[in-house]
Amino acid sequence: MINLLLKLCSLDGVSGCEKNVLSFISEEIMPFADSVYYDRAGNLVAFKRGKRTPNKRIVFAAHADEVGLVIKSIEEDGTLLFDDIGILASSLPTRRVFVGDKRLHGVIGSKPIHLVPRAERGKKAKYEDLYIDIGALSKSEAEQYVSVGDSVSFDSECVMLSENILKAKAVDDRAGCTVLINLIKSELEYDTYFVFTRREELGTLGAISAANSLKPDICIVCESTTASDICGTPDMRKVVKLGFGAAVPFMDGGTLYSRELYALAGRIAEEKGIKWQTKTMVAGGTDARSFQREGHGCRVLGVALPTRYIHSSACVCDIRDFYAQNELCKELSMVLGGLNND
Amino acid sequence: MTSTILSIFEKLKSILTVSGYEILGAENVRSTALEVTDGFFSSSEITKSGSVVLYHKSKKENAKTLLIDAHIDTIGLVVSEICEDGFLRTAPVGGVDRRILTTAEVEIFGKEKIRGVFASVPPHLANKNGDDSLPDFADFLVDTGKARDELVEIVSVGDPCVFVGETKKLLGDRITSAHLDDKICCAAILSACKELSGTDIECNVTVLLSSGEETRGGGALTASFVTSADGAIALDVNFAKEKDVPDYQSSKIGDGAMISRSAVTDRTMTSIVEKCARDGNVKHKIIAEVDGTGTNADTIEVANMGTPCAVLSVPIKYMHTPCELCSLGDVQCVSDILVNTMKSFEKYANEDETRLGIRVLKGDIVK
Amino acid sequence: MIDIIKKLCEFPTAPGSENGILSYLEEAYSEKYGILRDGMDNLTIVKKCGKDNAKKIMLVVRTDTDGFIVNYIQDNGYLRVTKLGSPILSSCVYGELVSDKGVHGFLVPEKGAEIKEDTAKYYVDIGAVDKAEAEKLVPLGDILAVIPKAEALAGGRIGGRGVGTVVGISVLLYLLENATSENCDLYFTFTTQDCLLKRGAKTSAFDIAPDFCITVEPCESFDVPASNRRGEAVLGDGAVILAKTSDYAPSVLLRKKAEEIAEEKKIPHTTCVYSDKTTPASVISKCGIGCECLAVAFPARSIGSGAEIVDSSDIESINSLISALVSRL
Repeated sequence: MINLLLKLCSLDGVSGCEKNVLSFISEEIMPFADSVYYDRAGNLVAFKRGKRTPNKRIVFAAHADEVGLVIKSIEEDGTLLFDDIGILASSLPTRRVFVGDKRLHGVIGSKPIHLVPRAERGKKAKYEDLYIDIGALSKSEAEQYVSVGDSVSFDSECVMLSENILKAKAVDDRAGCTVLINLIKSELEYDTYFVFTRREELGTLGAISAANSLKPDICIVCESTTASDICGTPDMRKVVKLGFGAAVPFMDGGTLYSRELYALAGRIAEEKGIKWQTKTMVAGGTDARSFQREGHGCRVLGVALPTRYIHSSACVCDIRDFYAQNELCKELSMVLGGLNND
Repeated sequence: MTSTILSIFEKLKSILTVSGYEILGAENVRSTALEVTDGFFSSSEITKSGSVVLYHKSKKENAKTLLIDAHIDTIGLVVSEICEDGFLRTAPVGGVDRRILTTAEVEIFGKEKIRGVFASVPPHLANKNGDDSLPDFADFLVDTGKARDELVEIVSVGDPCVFVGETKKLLGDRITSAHLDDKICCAAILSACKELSGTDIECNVTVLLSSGEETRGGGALTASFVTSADGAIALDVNFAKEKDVPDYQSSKIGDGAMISRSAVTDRTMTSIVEKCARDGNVKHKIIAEVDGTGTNADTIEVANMGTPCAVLSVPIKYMHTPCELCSLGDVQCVSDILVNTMKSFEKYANEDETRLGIRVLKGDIVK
Repeated sequence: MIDIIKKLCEFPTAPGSENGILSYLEEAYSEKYGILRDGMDNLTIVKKCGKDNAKKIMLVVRTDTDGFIVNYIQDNGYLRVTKLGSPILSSCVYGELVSDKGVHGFLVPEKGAEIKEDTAKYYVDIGAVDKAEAEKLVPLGDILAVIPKAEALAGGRIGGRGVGTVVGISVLLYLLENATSENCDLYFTFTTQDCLLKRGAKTSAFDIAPDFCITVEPCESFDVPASNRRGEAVLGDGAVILAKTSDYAPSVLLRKKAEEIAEEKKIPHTTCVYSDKTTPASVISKCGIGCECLAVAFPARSIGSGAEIVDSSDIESINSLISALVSRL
């Protein structure tokens, strides 16, 4: 199961350019799902029959895209200017990257400290000062390989830092994608729909179209969520903690989750002995906000993997939490279809 | 040909379509659009949001449908209070810069159309903070030259106003006018349709002259539940090179159309538009607008069940002012690219199997 | 009027915890009328005219008032909360809150903390002795509502906490009882999560797909000391017809019709621009295929505080105006 997660994290799928990830997923699930297709907005949708057909439409969702960069200009000296999708500038200097579909190697340059004026030393990097260097010596050389609009993703190894702690890029949200794939590969109690959405990092956009075409009654969004359990942070501000299980939020910046489903998830986790926690800060946002409020709306629940440094080249998470996320989603899939209509 | 564009633009410009008030001009917009396109469209409708939708039906069976959008609404003002001495207080509709207000001239659409001029803000209000920051919008009053008694007979709170900005020809093919944003794009579309009238193009074409873009895109959003298309192009104005505007964010006046690549719009549809520009050797510049284009394309791409959308623009200077400036040659480039796209869409949309529309890998799609 | 308002005050309601008031309404009207619920839990009571293909008029009001959600429980049993919407903290301080399971508590600032509009320095004391007890009574994610209260004041004014919300509901209930239309089906929609950026309204009109929609809400009254009035309404102005809000100009056709009817029937009214105000009409106008929306408001002083004050004559004007408008659409 971990190998699948590692494989997914190693694929590039910056928002708007998710095709590598989606095509890998489609091949992975094809033998197990009853139908698989791309919807009008390019989200990958799958349907799998269970033992029973519920009177509600249950949808599990995870986003296939990841944070990254996009080339906006090729300069005279062959360097590349970029804009970001969801990344803090301060985490960028000296990161290694892959540029474009051809996956050219590149680095984000940083001026030698010797040349930084005294007044600017110790200050955070600013986007205006950052650029990607692919080793090109001129604009014309760079233009042979790169064009404006190409996306750029991190070149970041998947490494186990300890027995249970994983470092990789794009854990947000390949973890959720893995959960969905595992569900599709398993035997299901109820007929269930799955969607791997695009453009979550641009403002939960792909989910808008997915919600309108799938019209779920209940939608479970499998995500990664920011863990701030860094040494020295007061407990109240840690939000969620690695090693404390799957995170089930009651609310975030975009959504007040269904209170019934939130309570149900907690109850099931307790019953089945699955570790779980909730978020202790109202922050962030997920595809749930689009699913909840497109069309005539639906009930939403989030089941997330606590992840440190979530929007960077080096996400850190605990695979035991990942297992808990998988188990909790599996258990939920066994009961959601049987909920009463109301 | 640029004269066609200019005359269509003038006709559209004369119709009041301040954002939120489009419904008042919608019938007029529709009849104008039908009249200037020589029978290209076979049917039309006006949506509940005041957008005008025009349909061209291809003779081919099961032809693909191309949606072409430009917004018909404009920025403007709305009367918020009728003050003593015949002054009016107004509120902005859409993004209006307070720097342009002092002595700007406006037309107020009350029971009759009257003129007014923004007064300069009296000194006690102008320097409230003791610095050079501008007063609140509501501190700028419009002088109508009329007595209050006379004024209340003509004007009511809620009446729309526009900035006066007559169209003038500048050097070469350059013009200046209010409301180039986005009526010059509406004109480019209708001119392209006129050009193709009477010819057999293979795809269906739906033209959407959408409402509400300047106030958060309600027109394009609601229209997505009325229309259905396989691919879309949203036309809007974009930044022309001005002092201090970076090259990567703008295009020089005279350098042709602009095509945006963005993570929120569709790559395949964008590449189709780029191909159609290259096929016809039409001048254009490609720019990146990474996390949003600020046009209806952002909405069309995902609204309802989603429609793959590209952005094609006319570079203009001084956006959202009464003296917007553009080159008619650039507008013609946009129109030419549209003509090529309408001619080739059926071919390209069927040729490129990677993305346009639903693609089934296994089983049935979900109903 | 005050009686129904006092009755509605029995249902403390915060975004996401509207169940009390909605169940009450459902129970009271489900025998006589059809009821619709949607994915956001909005409740709609349907009054049909009996004709086929009748046009649909939707009348909308919010049911929630700004509140709080519990996001942390301290070892000593104190609750930490986050705002739901934008309650004015300086007005809630030392005030009573109640969870939807009926647990009461008080919002208290930390010792020496300045009264700021940020919940970081506030806690809620429910009297629990430790975390375990608190968790059992009010688990993380539970919602705390302010307790609405309305009193009749001098001059036909009504004042208290949450008055804007309950008065709005009372208007819709008046219309439900009294408004009739020969040609249109009427949909009375009570929305949820309005204080959270009008989230309930976002889905409310989708299934109904109305032809017309009229929203009812409070708007700030500018007849208070040191207010800088620039054409906005004051108590006693009558029905306020909004011509423009921050991002929306309500349907100009419906507005003109409402103004005409008000003139003709001599119903006190005023047309105003509120440039800083958001309205659910904006959200509903963009729902599905869209619809013509009119936003009608009643002036209220100190919205969001414990001293919201409205004028009963304005409410009567709104009742008459909307009844008349509905009968003519």
